[in-house]
Amino acid sequence: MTLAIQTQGLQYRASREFAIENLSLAVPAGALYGFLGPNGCGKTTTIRLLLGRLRPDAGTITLLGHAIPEALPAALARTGVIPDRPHLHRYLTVQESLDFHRAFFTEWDTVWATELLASFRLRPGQKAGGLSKGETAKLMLLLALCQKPDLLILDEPMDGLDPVVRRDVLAALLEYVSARGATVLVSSHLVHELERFCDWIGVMDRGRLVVELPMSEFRGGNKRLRVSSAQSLDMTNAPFKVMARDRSAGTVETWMVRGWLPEMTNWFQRDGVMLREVADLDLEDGFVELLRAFRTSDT
Amino acid sequence: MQRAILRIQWKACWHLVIALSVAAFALPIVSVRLDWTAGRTNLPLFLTELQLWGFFYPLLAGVAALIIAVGIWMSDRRGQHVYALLLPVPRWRYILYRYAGGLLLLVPVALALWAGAVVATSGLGLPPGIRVYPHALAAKFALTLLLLFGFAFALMSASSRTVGIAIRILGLFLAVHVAVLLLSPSTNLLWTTVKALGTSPGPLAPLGGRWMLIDA
Amino acid sequence: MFADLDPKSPIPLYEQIAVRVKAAVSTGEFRAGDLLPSVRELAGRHRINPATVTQAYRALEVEGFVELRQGAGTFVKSVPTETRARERGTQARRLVRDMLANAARYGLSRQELRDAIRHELDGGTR
Repeated sequence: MTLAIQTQGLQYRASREFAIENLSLAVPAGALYGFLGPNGCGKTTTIRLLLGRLRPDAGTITLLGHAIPEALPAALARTGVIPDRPHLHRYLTVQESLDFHRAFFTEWDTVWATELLASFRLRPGQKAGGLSKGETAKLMLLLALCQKPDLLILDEPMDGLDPVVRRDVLAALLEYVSARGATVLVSSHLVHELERFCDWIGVMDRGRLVVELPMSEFRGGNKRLRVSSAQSLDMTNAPFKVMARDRSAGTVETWMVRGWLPEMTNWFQRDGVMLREVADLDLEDGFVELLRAFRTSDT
Repeated sequence: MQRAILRIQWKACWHLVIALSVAAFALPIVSVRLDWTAGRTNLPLFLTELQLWGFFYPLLAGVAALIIAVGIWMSDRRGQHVYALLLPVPRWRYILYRYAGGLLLLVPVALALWAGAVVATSGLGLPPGIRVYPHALAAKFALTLLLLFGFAFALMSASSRTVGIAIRILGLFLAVHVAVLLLSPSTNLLWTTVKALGTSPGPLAPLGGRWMLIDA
Repeated sequence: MFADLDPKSPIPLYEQIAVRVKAAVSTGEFRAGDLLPSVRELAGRHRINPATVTQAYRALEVEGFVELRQGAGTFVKSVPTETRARERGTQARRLVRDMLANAARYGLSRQELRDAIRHELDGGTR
């Protein structure tokens, strides 16, 4: 499995209170990788490290096979980026922004640029500084896509956008990925949106990578169990990991577990204990419970 | 890539270039027109006023250099250089493109001054020895522009950290100068340094010296 | 047709897509020779992973409902009546399975369920 992005043992001290610790990311080529984590967990810092804007204290970074920062321009030539804050030159018009950007990339899709301008409803003569938030996001995506990258790194690209714009943005992104097979790393809060199309997920918290695995394994392994009469149950050899246990509703408890497999129902064949229900946890619930469990195990 | 950068720099600064070029064209004409009449009556006054005009040339060069250096970097600085750092160009090359673009924007200003000098001296009937004067003036101005743009560009392209260091070094030097002055009143470090820098072969030499035509 | 795909459902997305196509073929909504939406179109319009769409189409190909023609797209095959009938049977059983699972959650007995089915089939709640 070739890796589009790989970091090993990445260390970076951002301030006295916060550091990226021993970060080892592995984003497979062609993956749609959802990069999740609460605010301030270090997603943007990690992305800045990946793109060579910050220098790590220790560890290695490889982007599309190029070592960062040694081969940074070669990596950037094949990477489309949407940074966490709008980066465009505000005094240029939409058309001028396109002309400027395309001068730096040998492969530029003029036809699709024209199509996207139309479908995004961006007027070539509009000043970039005068665009609305949604239009700015669309323009940034247009520039990143038309340079025909092999890798897209998007830092909260849908932050603050209304649902209509979000759809347009995602549609264009997924159309590109279908045609090109590019790898995408999207960091976002909008777990529900990512859940639709990401096939890999990496969760960060407090500067560390909590989990990184295929979406199907993450979703498949996270379950909500309803168990009755389990008060005196010995949990020492449980084959799954209990992230949370809610005893507030009388004899029936609700458990959030990780690493569940279907055959584990057998483990519940004990005196008096009854496994009433096994339900899927959606990505957001799984994510929340995972973080809660991670933080309590930390302290 | 150079063309793309030049295009956006032109869009940002064209009105500044025009204004500076007009000023550069006007300066020789104005300085010559105003002074020549005075010369007929009062030579010492004429010479002093002449020297005064001389001061405006390096001043214009400095202003032009600074304005263009600021103008070409403004957009990048506002965005904290995020865009520049995303482009697949090594930093040093990007900076070189910006520098070359800035120089190109200053060419019209230098040319305007040359034109102005030629026009100003055309009606004067210069004796053969100083017929090259307008060209020499223009050359001196261009050289000064180049020099001052170098400084201004370095300042504007430097990260805030580097600028901070530079300011601290300057502050330290001034502190040392004051201390030395207090201990030994006849030793003026600042003046000595300025003089050393300002006279050939010091780097600021082109700014000094004679700008204006003396003794027709 | 694909507007209500549910990424949260335990049924994988590729299966949801495949089921919808099979249902459409069974009812005749898709006829032999019809072109299915391209991977790019479907992925873009419904914001799903193109690999998911490809997986769905491949599963459909294996089951004999469609054929993938390189460069041209995915076309519906003429499906024999038995296959269509079998598919309808599978759909019906799936519906019943869901209903039984829900009924268990409410603690309904078999008899209560049968009575309810008869009632509804006879004309519904009055």
